[in-house]
Amino acid sequence: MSKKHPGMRRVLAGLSVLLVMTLVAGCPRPAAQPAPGAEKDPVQAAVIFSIVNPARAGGWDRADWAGILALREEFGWTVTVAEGVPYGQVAATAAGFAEAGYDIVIFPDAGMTDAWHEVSPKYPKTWFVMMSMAERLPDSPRVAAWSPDLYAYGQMLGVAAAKSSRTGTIGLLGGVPVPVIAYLFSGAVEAARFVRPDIRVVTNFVGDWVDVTAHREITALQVREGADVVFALTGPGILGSYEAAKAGGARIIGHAWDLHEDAPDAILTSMILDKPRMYRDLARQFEGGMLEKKTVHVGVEYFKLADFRGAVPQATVDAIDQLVTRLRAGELPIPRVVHSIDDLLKR
Amino acid sequence: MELDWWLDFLLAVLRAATPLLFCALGVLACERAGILNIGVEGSMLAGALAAVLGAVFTGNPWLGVAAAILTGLLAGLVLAGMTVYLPADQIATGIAFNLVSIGVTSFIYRLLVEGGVRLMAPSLNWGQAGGWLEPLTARLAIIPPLTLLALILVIGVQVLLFSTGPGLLWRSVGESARAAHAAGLSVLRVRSLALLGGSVLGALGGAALTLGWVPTFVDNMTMGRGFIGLAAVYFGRWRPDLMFFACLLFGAGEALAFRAQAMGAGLNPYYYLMLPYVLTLAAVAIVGMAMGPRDAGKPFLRG
Repeated sequence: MSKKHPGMRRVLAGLSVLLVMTLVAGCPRPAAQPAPGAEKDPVQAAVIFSIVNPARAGGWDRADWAGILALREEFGWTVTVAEGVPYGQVAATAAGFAEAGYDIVIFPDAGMTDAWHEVSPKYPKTWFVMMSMAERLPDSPRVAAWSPDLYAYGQMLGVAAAKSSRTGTIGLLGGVPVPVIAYLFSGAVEAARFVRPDIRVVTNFVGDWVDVTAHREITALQVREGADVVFALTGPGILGSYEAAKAGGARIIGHAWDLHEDAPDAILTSMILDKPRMYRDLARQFEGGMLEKKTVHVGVEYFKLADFRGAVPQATVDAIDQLVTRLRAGELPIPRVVHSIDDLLKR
Repeated sequence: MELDWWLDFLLAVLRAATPLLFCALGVLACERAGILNIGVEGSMLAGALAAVLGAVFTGNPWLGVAAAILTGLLAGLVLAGMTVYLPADQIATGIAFNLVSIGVTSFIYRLLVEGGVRLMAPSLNWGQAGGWLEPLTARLAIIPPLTLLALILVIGVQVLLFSTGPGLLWRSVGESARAAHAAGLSVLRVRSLALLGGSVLGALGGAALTLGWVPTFVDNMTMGRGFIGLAAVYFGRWRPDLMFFACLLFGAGEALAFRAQAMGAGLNPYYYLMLPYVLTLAAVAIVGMAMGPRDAGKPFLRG
């Protein structure tokens, strides 16, 4: 057949070569060596994401993105971002950064814990930092973790959700059913029951972070079950939850970052985790030579509720503020009960 | 269970089955003409983005559907050039086309988002049809427009394929391209038209996923639905009527997976989430070995 369309094949071959040349031309080159006496090289950091486009993700990764911007803009660091890295490839990607001479490799997601433990002992000259919940540090000299107390985070969320609900039913929606989310949801369930004993909590998991149609369907089911306030801890799929909430007259509490601008008519408030502050802490400690092998326990001072922007009556906002203040002061004796995923799913 | 629950479940099944129906029809149209349309996933993804962009920039979701159709035509032209006229290997081309589609749509999506464009489109519903259609659309309100179109197309393709002369010619190209050529048919033209039609249907599947379900776009949002459409064709033994039931079955599996979890039996969520795939496996096992059009996947070389 090649005899039939030789011209077309040549054109296609030419286009392919052109495309490859364009791609090669667009590849980043290693930075040139600085001249003697020039300023010190900026810190080279790398951040690995399991999803693509973290700058527009559902909340958690977007908060990390804000942290990356802080490193770049406030500290002048050079930050390379790897996106869409499957969990199974995280260790190899991190190893690649370490071998390329990066100073710090950052894991923003507890799903990367295994990779963190696997890769860090092999590269003792590189810092490997976990920016999520960490139970223990890897066996390596240059490892650190900024580990948020997600149970306390869940408690603050539970207070806000229970007090905002008119129907007395709130929804908790998770992306993938992992223990970290069960831990956070446990705090929410216990706090919601503490401030409103008659509250009903319906919990579901979508099974992934990105499927917008699945998110829409499950959120719609929670709304059908009576939930008028839904906390969605997921990824880009949250767009589907917004649609279901709008259609059913419910409201979403965003996760980690103020998501109001994404869907002003669907967002009630957002439960903010100040990840940029965690990144700034890291940068200051690294630059000051104070970074050491340790776990930094990130507590309630890093958590806050975003503005409700009139979505609930002012009296409700005041009541929530009051309870949150007491929670911060440790004056609310909410029991610390960790539920399993299966328990959370029971109605 | 309440009637309300069943109605809601039925609508959820239709919502989930509609994109699959379009894709499956797109695959079937091509395979009946002897072309393996593996690239249907890519056409679907491109159609999904085009539909959202068309609706966002014009404010009219029906123009979003038109944009998806145009994108499908473009995809069909590329695939026809590659697999009918070169002809490159149909499977390799389809896989490459799917990968390129993921890259291109994500690239465009990223450019738009970084440019500050909010990709939340208006949903497609009968209300926007308006005008003289209003008395009719008021009765059809419960069935989404693209679902109705898919149902009409299933019946239309069934009749066309098995009860008309052009349908017989169409099938003959898929069964024996050489015999069809000897009888005076232009095999290349029939296959090209089938690919154009198949790609448009795939793109409409994308439009059904976005404008008909969640009117926005995220990276790789089709998540293998094109391939489920492909499985539906095999399960349906290359017949639109059986394929329709296969799509309903897969849609029911998806709808049931979520509802079973919401019923709160307290089992691990993955038990429920694997339901659609277990159903697919069971269906394929029950059907057993099925024979498709004999010349499907074989390039046609004149002379």
